Amino acid sequence: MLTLVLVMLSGCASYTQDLRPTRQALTGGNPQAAIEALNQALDVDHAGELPTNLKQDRVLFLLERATLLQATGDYEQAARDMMYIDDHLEWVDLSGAKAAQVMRFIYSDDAGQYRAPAHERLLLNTLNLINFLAQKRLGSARVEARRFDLLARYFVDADSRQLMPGILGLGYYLSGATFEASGEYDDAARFYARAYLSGVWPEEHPGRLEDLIALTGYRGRDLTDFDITEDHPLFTSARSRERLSRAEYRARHQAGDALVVVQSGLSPYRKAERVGLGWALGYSQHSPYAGAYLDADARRQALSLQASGALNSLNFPVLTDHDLPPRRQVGVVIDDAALTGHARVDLYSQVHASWTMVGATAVAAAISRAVVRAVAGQASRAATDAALRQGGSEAAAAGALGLLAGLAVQGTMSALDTPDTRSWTTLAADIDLFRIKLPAGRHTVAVDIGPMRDERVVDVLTDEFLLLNFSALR
Amino acid sequence: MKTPLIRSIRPLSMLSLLVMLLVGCGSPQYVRDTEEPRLDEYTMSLRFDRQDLDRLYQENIDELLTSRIVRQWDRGESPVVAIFPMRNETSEHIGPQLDTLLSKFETDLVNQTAASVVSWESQPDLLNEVRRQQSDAYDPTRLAAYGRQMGAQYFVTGKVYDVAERIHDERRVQYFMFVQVINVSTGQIHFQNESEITKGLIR
Repeated sequence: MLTLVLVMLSGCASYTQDLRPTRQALTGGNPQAAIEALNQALDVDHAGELPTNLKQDRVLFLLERATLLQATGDYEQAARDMMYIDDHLEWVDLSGAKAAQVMRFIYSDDAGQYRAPAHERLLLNTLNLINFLAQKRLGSARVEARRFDLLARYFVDADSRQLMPGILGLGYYLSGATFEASGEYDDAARFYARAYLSGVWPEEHPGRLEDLIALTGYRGRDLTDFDITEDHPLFTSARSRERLSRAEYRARHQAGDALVVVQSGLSPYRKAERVGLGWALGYSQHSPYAGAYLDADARRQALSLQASGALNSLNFPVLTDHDLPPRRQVGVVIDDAALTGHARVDLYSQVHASWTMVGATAVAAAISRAVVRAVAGQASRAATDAALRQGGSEAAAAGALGLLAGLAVQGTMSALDTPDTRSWTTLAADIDLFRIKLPAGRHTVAVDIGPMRDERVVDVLTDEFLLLNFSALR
Repeated sequence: MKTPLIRSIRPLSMLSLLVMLLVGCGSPQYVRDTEEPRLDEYTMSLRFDRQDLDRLYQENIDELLTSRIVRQWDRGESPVVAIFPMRNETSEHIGPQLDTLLSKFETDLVNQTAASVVSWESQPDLLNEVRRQQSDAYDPTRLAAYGRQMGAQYFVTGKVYDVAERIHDERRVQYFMFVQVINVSTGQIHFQNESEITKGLIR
């Protein structure tokens, strides 16, 4: 029975291994093939279908598929998938929490329901903003902007904001563009100010924001988390500007207004690595952002096991960029004229930073499980010793088998303790924003990602915000 | 008689069984309301479900049908009334549910009042304009233009706001819905009713 279970479960590939064909297809510039691979994993015939259940990491497979549907320009299906994911990332935990906790602690790190880290949770709403803006569905985009704002307030405190200013700035900027396109200038000023202060501002000067501040009378009283006062240069400069009417603002900033979003490269993903117990014990106390630390008893047991030589190392997920495409320079050419000035959001570095928020908790849990395994192994060996002390051939046979069984308990659980390598692996490494004004008419927009080019012909109306997303080439 | 061999293997078998039980879960199955009479009673999300819509409908239609403006329509020349999309100002994607609610209002206005009801959904140009310029839906000057285009004297519409909060893994959304009847030419609000619903995700 044990052998059967071992064979069955040790044959299960990790999430990282499962996603390798998808990553390779995307890196090779073939997102359609990557989508088909994910449809197989989701057990559906085509991208129009949702899986019948979200077991076995399907919520993450669906997230990867939504990212790729966005890359192929299927924004409607991408938005549908992301809304579904948004709901189920929260609900699934409620239904099977106890089982998941048991599995996570005793048996395997990645057996429980996947819980997205803060940066992925925030980027889910941010990328869905792109889906709705690309479809010109401003009402739905405003809903996503409010959801992003709610999550940003929930996840982010003064310390964690320092870890992912670009991710927050990107969400704030797209939210600002959404409310500006909707003619809701108060909210646009509020979100744009946060984006600007987070360092995400694709235009050379903050004139757009200063005009909005002058137009709306926004004072930035909600910016306490940025330590901003009315004396900030942004507000003093805005006070000195001529106050535009709504129509004048619209004519100055929103005629032929377009935002080009380029997602390139791939973010680092998790892989399993064997690390020394000493390092793990130190790291478990490392992050000031961790939610759960190793308790004193488990730490004492781990040190004791280390001293006796029973526990020297453990499996642990680490971030890697193995096999990922190189990060490339991005340029935009409109009707043969190259654009200058843009904002780059470095997701790659911020995924690393975000990992430091949960890494200490993850290693603490891994140590706890390793201690349980080691103690279980020692108990089996103690039983064996007792049988041997009773003497006799039968006891000797039982003792030998008990010894093997004890080792098997420890060895099997160690083999099956697959570290949690789940993460959003099709997430871009960089997101570049270009804000441009185009005269009404037909234009050719070309995006250069290193030596590769993606080109699109667009019709521009003077009074309509245009968002163009390029994420098929990585 | 059990041998020591069996005794030593039994804990492993038990462990394996536990693992298999935990790994293998029963398959979900689809059901209909006749098979599971309480199906409509379960709260499945923070959005509006049928019970919420029924409650919002009842709280608003009674007030609307007995309002002064509807009594005025019934007494005088029957006006042309247009149903206009409700504005979703919440952090939840409830647009389709709001459209369902308006359709229920539309049915009762057609069947129980003297008004002649026209729907924006039947006018493709207006539909595109509404989708493109959703934010201007409440601009009285634009509303008047839409109204003239349809020959309407009144709009039945509304808006929904929310107060959404998260604490740890728990969420609460308090919805505030306003149903309105607006005079197309003057922008005057002749009827407004407020309803509230709270939904939550608690541990």
